[in-house]
Amino acid sequence: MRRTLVRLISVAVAVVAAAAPAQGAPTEVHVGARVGYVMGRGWTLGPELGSES
Amino acid sequence: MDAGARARFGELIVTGHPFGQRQTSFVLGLTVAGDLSFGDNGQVAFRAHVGPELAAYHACPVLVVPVGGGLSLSFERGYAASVGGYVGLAALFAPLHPAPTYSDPAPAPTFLAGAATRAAFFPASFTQNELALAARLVYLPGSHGGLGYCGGD
Repeated sequence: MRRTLVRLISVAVAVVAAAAPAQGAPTEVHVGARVGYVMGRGWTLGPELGSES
Repeated sequence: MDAGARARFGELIVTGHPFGQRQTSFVLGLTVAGDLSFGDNGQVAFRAHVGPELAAYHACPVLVVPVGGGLSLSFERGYAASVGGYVGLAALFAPLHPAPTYSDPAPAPTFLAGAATRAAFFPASFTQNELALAARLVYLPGSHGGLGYCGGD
């Protein structure tokens, strides 16, 4: 579980890092936790990363 | 288990005072987001969301409300890719956004806190439909083109 979480965070960081430099440094950066409900899976929980420029 | 990431590329489109004397700015941008979810059986699903977002920045107190929607794609091994749509809404709050001054050219950054929600619908695949709620902490540096300064100066 812990390795999976680290892997997921790494993927999220990579996605944001790849997207952000397109317009220079991001103006805003956010972190968070998300809880979701997918009809076929049930509840999900995990981290969230993002940037706004 | 679930993980998500998003990025928005926006431009300031208008700044005015529609809600009293305090400045409100509107930023229109394109949002790209993705999330992975792992089922109990080890099956991995990936959803991608692309669409426009309009964000209102009001100060002060700082209230940021982004509203967006667009196209969603869902991929899962063993299933055909599903195409759908999403709507998203967030509300973020901070009491102050201090301005840089001569004596304090680098004031403390502003941290916004709030919640965001996104609903994704896939008409052809009911089991992919998702409702997500996120708690967000946003780092806002000392200078922000779309947000008026207030407090601390």
